Amino acid sequence: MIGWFTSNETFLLTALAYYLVGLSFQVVLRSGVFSLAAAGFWGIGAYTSALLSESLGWAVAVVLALVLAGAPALGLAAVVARLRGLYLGMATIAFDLLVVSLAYGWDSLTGGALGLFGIPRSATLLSVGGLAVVATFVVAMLQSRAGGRFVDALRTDETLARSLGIETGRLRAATIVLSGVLGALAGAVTPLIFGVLGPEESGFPLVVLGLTIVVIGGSGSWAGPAIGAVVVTALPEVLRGVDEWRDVVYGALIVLMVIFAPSGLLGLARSGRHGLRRRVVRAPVTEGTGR
Amino acid sequence: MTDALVCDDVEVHFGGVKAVDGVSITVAPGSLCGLVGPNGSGKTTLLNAVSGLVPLTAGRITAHGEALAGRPVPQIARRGVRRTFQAIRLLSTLTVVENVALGADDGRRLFDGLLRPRRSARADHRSRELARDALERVGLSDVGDRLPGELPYGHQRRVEIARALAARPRLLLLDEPVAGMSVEERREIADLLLELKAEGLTQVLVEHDLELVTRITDHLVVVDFGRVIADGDPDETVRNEDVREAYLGRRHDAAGPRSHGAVRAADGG
Repeated sequence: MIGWFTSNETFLLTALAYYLVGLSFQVVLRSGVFSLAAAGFWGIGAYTSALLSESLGWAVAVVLALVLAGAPALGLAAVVARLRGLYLGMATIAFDLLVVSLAYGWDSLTGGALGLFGIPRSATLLSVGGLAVVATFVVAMLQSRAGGRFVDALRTDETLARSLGIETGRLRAATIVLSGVLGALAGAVTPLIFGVLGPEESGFPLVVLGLTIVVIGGSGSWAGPAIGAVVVTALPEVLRGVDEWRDVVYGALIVLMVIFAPSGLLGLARSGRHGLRRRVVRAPVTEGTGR
Repeated sequence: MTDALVCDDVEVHFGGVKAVDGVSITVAPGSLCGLVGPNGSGKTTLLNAVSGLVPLTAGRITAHGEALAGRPVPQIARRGVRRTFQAIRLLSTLTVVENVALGADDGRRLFDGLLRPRRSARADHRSRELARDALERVGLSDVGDRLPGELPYGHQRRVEIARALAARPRLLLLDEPVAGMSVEERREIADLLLELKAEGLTQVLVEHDLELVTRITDHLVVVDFGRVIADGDPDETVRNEDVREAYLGRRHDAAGPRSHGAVRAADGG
């Protein structure tokens, strides 16, 4: 067992980093607050830990990464407070691209297009796993009980949520900040896993990755990105023989998931369980539900 | 005793459209006030103004002596002013009891699940208890664990009322709660509203079914084109000529001199 873990360490660390990326998008998709800024904050977190982990140690570097992402996340949340849906998505993608151009342009700090090399690979299953557990705890507790009902109400019907007394403005802002900090955490651990960091790693491709993970896994809870991250990490291994078809398979997978399982593998599992229970326990509902 | 709801010369304009154009209404505590009028007469806009969803162009709204106009929607809801909507607005992914519990949840305590887990567990327990009570109240005690989509239409509308009741409101605004229901279901909802009135809950009922409204309300307000055209005892009010005209339309001149409406129309030129 331990042997399997150590021989697959890179696979597991990658899956954990992907999980954190997915978690930052789960927060967004479950609440319907379409902030895609997590990719930009990933960049801030990644460069912070890449630059500081050697001199300060990985733990301090990760904490600094979260602080350096959290402060601008608060500012961003205030700036985009009035934006909804697609407009919020566009504005936050602009933020992501801003971070990418900073990474390219600020040569002296980021190494420009070449990126950073020789970053100490200090990530261990224990450290990254521990951080993932903490992040999971935070998200799971925030989405428990009334907190879960609040984000579901915000996603489904914001007007209704407000008329039920829910402070949706604060909830939206908190969602943007939480997603950003989780993105920064994912970014902070990644260069500590691979030892290198380039400017092309954050930005739009990361948004696609995060959304893919959640679309595959589901956005109902933290378990969705956990499932999605394992699938997305394992796919390249599975598709090793047909490398040139990989993107096609990715695309097809997403289309199929969206059409046949819009709430992801997690949703599929849940509705299977629910349907089964209903068939076993309850008589079928015969009356129509329409007007 | 302060009035449960006072609308004082309320105006709501959308661009050039005067959806509500100088409405003054007073609702006594514990009363069941009907609000009727043709489609597009401004009934729902007035409810939206009271619950804060649309800003007032002019006028004042107070509930139990406290000014409402200008306050954010969640604050108004937390002051005990709750409502139902014309369309069904239940969350399809939550169970019925969770939907109703949302009415009882304290919408300020957004992060208690993480920051004060024990308190959040207690509050959740309490919300679900209130939700079950409210469901029992509307006659749906055994469907709490189902999804709203599994219930027939009339029961979904009851769940909406239960969600408002779970908040234990001081003022309940009902926007066409029996629309699309069968005669039998209408009677049951009417009985429920009468029971709630007997318990002292102040209600404003927007409804098209005049027979039902005159039977259960003790005060009827008729609006047309954003203005109050009649206000008072329900039975007298529905006999009012202006009201009949607004509801039934003006009779064509060919209807003859018996028609009061025709005479008025001719007079008005």
